[in-house]
Amino acid sequence: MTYLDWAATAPPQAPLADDFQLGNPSSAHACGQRQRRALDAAVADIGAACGWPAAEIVATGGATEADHLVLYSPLAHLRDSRAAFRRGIVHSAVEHAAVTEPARQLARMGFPVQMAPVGADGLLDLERFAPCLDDATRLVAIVAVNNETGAIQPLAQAAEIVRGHARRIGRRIHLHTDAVQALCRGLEVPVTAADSAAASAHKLGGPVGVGALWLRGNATLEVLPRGGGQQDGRRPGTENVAGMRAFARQAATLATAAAGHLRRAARLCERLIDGARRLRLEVVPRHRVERPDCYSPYIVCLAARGIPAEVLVRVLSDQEVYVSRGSACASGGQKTSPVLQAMGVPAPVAGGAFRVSTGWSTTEADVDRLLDCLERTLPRLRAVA
Amino acid sequence: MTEFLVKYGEISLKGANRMAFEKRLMRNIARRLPRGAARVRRTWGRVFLAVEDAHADEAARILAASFGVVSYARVARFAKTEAAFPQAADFLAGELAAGRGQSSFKIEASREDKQFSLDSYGIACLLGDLLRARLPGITVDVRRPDATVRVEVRDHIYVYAGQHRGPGGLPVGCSGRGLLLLSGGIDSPVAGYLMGGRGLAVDAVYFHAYPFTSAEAEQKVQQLAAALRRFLPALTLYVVPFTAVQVRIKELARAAEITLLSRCAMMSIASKLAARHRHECLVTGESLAQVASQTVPSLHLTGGYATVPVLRPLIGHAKESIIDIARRIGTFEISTLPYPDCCTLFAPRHPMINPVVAELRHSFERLDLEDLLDESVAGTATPAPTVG
Repeated sequence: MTYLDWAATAPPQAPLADDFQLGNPSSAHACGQRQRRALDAAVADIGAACGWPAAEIVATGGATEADHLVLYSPLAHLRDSRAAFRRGIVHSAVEHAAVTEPARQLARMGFPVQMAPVGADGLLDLERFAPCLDDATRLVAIVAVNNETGAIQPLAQAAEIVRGHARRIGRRIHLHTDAVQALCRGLEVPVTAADSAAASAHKLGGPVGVGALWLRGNATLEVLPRGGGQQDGRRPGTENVAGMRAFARQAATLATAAAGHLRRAARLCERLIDGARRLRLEVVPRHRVERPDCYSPYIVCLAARGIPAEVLVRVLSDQEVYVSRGSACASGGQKTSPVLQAMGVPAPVAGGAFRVSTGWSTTEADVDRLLDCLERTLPRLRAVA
Repeated sequence: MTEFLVKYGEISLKGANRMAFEKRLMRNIARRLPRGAARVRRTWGRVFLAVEDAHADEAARILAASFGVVSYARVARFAKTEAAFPQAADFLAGELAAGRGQSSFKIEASREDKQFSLDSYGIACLLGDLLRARLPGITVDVRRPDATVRVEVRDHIYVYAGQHRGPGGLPVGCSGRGLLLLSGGIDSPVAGYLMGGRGLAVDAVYFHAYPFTSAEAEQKVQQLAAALRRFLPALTLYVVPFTAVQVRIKELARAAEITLLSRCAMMSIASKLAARHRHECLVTGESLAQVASQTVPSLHLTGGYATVPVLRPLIGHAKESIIDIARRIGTFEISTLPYPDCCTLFAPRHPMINPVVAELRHSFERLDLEDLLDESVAGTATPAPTVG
């Protein structure tokens, strides 16, 4: 089996029996307090791995929930119905559905929502970004590393623009980043230039249904959900201590070895792109060939022009080579990826685009196996394309 | 034992063939119940189905989905004396109580045996009083009753309430055998259903072009076949490997002709299968002008590759009416699952809508498909029915 869909989920590492202990971390007795200490330690480890102060980390049920805590916060700030029109949201055109869909929903409710365009290179167009911000803007979301193309967004520059604009209008603007594909991989991504970030455990080999929101201490953001007041009211519900412990272990392990993993990923990426070009596949966007530093080497988007990616994914799957068509979350549907559309990728290329994503145990043999299968498969498919 | 009274409509119009139709209906119903659990008899233009109580619910479901059945009701039979009416009232009170929201009723009594001590009015009065005593709060309303209680005095006294509608039409099998071209779409299952209602025993054929169409698309068609088996319990699904044919067409044909030539190949393969499995006709879900391959010239062309008659029950239906039927028979939700039945790879942007038949026939000949068509027929599989 050749698994090349790490951006969808990484191979799960078995949890330890010790992760599961009796006690609710909010209970005052010894069992509860033991769990509280275990949770605090896990959160501290996650913070150390991601570069966040432990006190600013909120345990969540995954990255989507972390994104939602921030994206739906304008609703929590809603004091009366007219206020809706005063809290604007701006997000990049290459966000994950966990961001775009809540934004779309808020737009239907009357919140002003703007989409900041990207260039053909899949990177936020900074010149066109600034004009998207206006007097109403209170929340900005920019993905750290795009999950379909691997494009590393210019978060630091975007943050500067946001701060400058905030000063000019005399308001606070919250900058959020979905950092799921950025963390613990050794990538140079200034996640902390934002005010909050979403992380997911299962993308790092931890359990599914576990994630974290980093929320800067002085952020004035108020979350919508209400409940037992856990985590200083930032996320109601009993904390998943076992999940967070497993998450912390993976984050720590990967962060330690990240530099090595990154070097290896870069080698594999180069090998893959070279091979793909030999097979006349298109690298999407083509800019990454000249500017590899702007893209995560863990995620490579390739395209076989004219061959529906759905068919290619199926044929490779039959040979036990697993890649994915765009974002795994959306690959069941037939529509072209909104990310590739935003980049202006022509339809025959976008329709044939598939994502190859690697991780810590991917080998050169895996990449070669994919290339072999493509070499054998493509002529047959091209004949009918 | 639970006994059902089954009424049928059109069959009674069928003159000399009536007996054959009735027998077909009885056999169709009996076949769907476990051997020995059911007894079917026929009398006075009615069919009576007696089943063991354990199978009563199943029998009701079967009657609701048996073509030929116009209506059915649980019926009770009593000795032909006035003394039987309290017992009859007990049974009817149970039936009325089972039907929700029924607060009024009327009684329709008929006597074939005019010697019976009470006349129809007398029966209605007696039974009405007995029912009101058993169901406090229920009233008699002869104009717009919630429920109608029926009493028939024949060799016995038969009473029933709560008639349910069956699908009507003619019993499956009395009009021969047909092969339905089943895609994953909305139309073709409806076409199969409608022809089943005309007494055609329908089997289905699906053209699978893996890997260009997904395994999920085939599963979807299997689900559709399973949904149709509710009405056509003996339906066999033939899955034809179509990839080689499709690829040949894509490689050699002009883009605009691809869809039509594929349809020609399907008609040809379906005809070969029909000959092999003794189907007397093909059935398609084509509706005039719905898509490019369903214009009159297109139908002329594709129909020309059939060697048996092609029945197109939807030809004059609007899409909305097709969707209404699909919803009613439970295929709409399956048809609208998101797996495309034919890969976009093979759908030209501008398919031909007005083919010159002679030209297209020439194009088809040039493809030299005969061997591949025969291979497709030879490779046809009949996957085991899925539970659905």
